[in-house]
Amino acid sequence: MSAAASRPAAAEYDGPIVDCDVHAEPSSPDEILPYLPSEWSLDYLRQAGRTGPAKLMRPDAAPESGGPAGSAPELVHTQLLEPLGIDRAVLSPGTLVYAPSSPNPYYAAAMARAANDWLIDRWLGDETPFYGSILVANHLPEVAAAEIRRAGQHPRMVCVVMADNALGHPWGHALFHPIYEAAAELGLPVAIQAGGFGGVNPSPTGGGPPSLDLEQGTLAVQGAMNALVTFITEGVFDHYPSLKLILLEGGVAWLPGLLWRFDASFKGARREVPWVKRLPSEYFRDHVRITTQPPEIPPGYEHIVELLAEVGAQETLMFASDYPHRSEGEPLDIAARIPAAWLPNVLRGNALATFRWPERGN
Amino acid sequence: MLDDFQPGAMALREVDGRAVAIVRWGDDLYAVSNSCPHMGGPLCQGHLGPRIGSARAGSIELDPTRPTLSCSWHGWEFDLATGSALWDDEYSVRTYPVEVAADGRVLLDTRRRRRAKAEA
Repeated sequence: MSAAASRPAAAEYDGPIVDCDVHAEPSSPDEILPYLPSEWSLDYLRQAGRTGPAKLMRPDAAPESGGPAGSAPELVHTQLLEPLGIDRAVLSPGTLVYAPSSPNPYYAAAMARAANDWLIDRWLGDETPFYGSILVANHLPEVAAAEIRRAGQHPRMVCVVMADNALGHPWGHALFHPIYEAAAELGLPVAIQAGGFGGVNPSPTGGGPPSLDLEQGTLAVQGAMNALVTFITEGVFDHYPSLKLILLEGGVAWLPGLLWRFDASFKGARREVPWVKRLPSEYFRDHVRITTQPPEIPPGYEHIVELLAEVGAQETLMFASDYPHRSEGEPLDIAARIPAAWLPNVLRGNALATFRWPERGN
Repeated sequence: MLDDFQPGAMALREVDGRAVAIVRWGDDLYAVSNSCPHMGGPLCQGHLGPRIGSARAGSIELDPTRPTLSCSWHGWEFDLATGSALWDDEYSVRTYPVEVAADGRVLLDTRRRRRAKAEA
């Protein structure tokens, strides 16, 4: 697929793009029911319709024939892939990604399994540009690991994704390690999506759950910080040296400050974590990838880019549109705000080196 | 004199106008500058102990053959034999060779650095 001539901004890079964060929605709750054991149907139908933050969606992404934004592959093509020249899009199962927010671990696991099977059947044909994320409910990590080993057999499932944290411990905690072990075994990176404010799971923000949408949107970054820091402190990358962590929708501008503080703190706290063998910022460069939407780099803020360069952004940033979510500006605005020399990596190369693409195998 | 230094403890002495932390650890003596290379904290007021290591997350092993000094200000740790910071061996505190004379006096040479045992 050749890149579209109408694509704005990225004049210095005109090759195809990999989009690391696109959301695929079922057209209706009925579309999920064939994949869900019948004993859970009533629970799902009760929940459906109030799990999704519909007001965050682009209104034009909803098909005229009916269904929510993100439910029509043809609109994803015409509104996203073709205009921007995207030849690979990594899908997460839309608002279903929050289904594991249920307090019921068995229902949550069944929903994750259903979401994975639906995504495979509905979106991941051999000739499509779509690739999938394996959703897991982490209430029972061994069950989640089994789901990774099951759904991960599909060659177009290229990563694991989680948003809700059911265990009330930091993402790097040893309780989660069976999930990371299974992901590493299959060569799958683990994506943590900022959010996970639903259901009864602990809030990903400090100081309690946000009261307002504005608070939620602004503070969601704390979940990404939690994952980055605790994957390193709790030795996830030492246990599973091949594992990559992808941070979705958590922003990027905070990285330099956090990593500086993290390195500085580590130098005096090494005795607490003697399994951490290098500076945290070095683990970040080797193991963590972070997506561009929202980029938090307004025009005129070149100094943020200079700071991001210091922490290895050229090797760690990956383009993501977050389609069909609405956000400030256009997804490809990032291309005009980072150095042209970064574009081949940020728009494509880093993603190619991170996900388990079919041609790479397990 | 050697008996002035208690095993497993640090003592501060002034030698040739320099503040030096002297440590008796097992059968060995160590001497390092009392000034932490980070921000000048008094190392002699820090913590002395065996080196803490780990083969995997959650496990901690102590190596009593590698005495380690951590600064009381910000916790930076230094290997007493080499002076190297444990988070980066390019960063180090000044070490001095120290020995015990036949009459029991503890002798310090502030003109040279301590050489690691393997090099001696």
